[in-house]
Parts: sequence; C-alpha cells; structure tokens
Amino acid sequence: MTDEQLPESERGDEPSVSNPVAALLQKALASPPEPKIHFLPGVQERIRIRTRGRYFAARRARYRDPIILLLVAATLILLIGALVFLVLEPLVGPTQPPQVNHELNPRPQ
Amino acid sequence: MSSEGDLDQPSARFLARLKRREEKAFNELVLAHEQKVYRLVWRMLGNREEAEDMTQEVFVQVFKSIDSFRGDSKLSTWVYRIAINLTRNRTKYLARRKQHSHSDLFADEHSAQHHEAQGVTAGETSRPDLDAMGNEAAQIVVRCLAELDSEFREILVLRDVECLSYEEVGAITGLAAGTVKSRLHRARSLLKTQVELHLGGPIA
Repeated sequence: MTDEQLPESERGDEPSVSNPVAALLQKALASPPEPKIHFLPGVQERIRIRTRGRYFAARRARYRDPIILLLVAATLILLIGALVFLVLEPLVGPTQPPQVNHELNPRPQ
Repeated sequence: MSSEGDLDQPSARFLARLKRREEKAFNELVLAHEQKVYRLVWRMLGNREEAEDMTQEVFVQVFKSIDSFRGDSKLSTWVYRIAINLTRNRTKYLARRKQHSHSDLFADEHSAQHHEAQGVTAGETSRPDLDAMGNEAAQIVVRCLAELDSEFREILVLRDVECLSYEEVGAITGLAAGTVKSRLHRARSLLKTQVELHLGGPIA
C-alpha cells in the first residue's frame, strides 16, 4: 500500500489522536504502574555478575539511594557540630550573667 | 566532524565514554532513559514485574553491545530498538509458556489502571453504569492489542501511544517509513475490528 492509497489520517506526521483507535489506545495505556524497584542497582548487579566483577565491582561505582546518602550526610553534620561544640565549649569558659546596675536602673515602685 | 556518524560533539564524547565502558557514563545513560524504556516495555508486555525485569535486561544488552552502535541514529532510538527486540523475544517466550498468557497478564495488570480510561467510549460522566462501560472498553482494547501479532502491536505502541514519528518508528523497527504507514493502517484496522466485535458496536 502506498501513501496515496492511505486514508488522510494515516498520511504525514499528524497527531495520532485524530484517529479513534489511537485515542482509545492512548487512554487505555496512558499511565503504567509505578515501578517498585530502582533500575540502576539491578542493572549494575547484573553487569557485575555477567562480567565476573570486571565492571561495577567497586562499591563507589554502585548506585546508592539518595535518601540514604542524605541521612548519612545529615548525621555527619550533626556529629561534626557536636564535636566542635565539645571542643570549643571548655575554651570559652563559663559565661557570666550581665551585671545590672540597680542604681542606674531603679526598679519601678 | 564527529567520528561517530551524525552525532554532535557532546553526544560523540558521551558515546566514546560509553564505549570505554565508563561506569559513570553508563549510570547517566540508565538514569536518563530508564523511565521511557520501562513505559515502552510495559506497554508491550502489559505486566509490571516483567517490564521491570525487561527494562534492566535492556540496559545490560546496551552495555554489552554499545560497540556496535555507529551513531547513525539517536542513542535513544537505538536503546528503543534493543527494547523492542528483547520484548519481541520475551513475548514469544511467554506465549510458549501457556500459564502466563499475554491477555491474562494484561487483564491482571490493567484492573487498577483502567480507571484512567473511563469514558473512552461513554464520554466523561459520573454515572457508574457508563463508567463501567468505559472501563470495560479499555480492557477490551488492551486485550485485543495483546492478541495482535507483535509486528502490529509494536507499530501501534510506538506510533499511537509513544507518539513517535514515522521515521523514528522506522529506525526502531528497521522498516521503511512507507511500510510503517501501511502497517499502522492495517494494525489500526485489525484492532478496530476486534474491539468493535467485542463491544458489539462502533467505537467512534
């Protein structure tokens, strides 16, 4: 079948939605279910196994969940903060409460 | 002038990194294309778990055969072609294993999905009886699609669902643009006939 023999809706690159079958398909297959896995770690693992550890063998090269990375970073920041506080706290010494001159600032009767 | 077909410089550099099997470059490739590949594969197989497994296999295959990519088409097109080829093989394998027939897979997977498709034939409505009709129509469409030969299903999914151009569909399937058009016409016609047969009336 040549282009000339095709119906108008089949010629050129016009949007497929003008065709009722295409519209039906688009509706029916619009939204795939969310995948329940991260693809990258699985792909890396398969490659690592099939190349007998030649690729993706080093831990640094492998995928890590960004949420875990974020949690680790937050914990590290907290630990560093606590450490800095513990080191600097004795150097500063006890803080004196400000002296209030009652003569200059008499209490209201 | 790039050494890799018609690729621009950044693409050629990226391809060179892939060919050197740079793990970081490969990670970038996976992250950039995983969702599109997953969607395509799911639309072809109709089963989430199969699609998840197949998506990973596609990228393993890409890693294995990246040396054979000459840069004559876009990298994404080449990845899609691998996805289509692997899916075709998997479909044949699944068809041989009768216990996981294609239509069953589609029927299971779509039971939740078809709420999206409500009103396909009945129009937007809140009437439960008409909603049920739309839902049923979508299930019928998907079941009929699954029953088509894979050569027709591929064309329908790539052109009508993924909305790729005829040239892109041709590059992925290895067909001339004219053949893509005529096969698309035939595929739509086959699907329409089947759907109307099941619905007991015209769909338009």
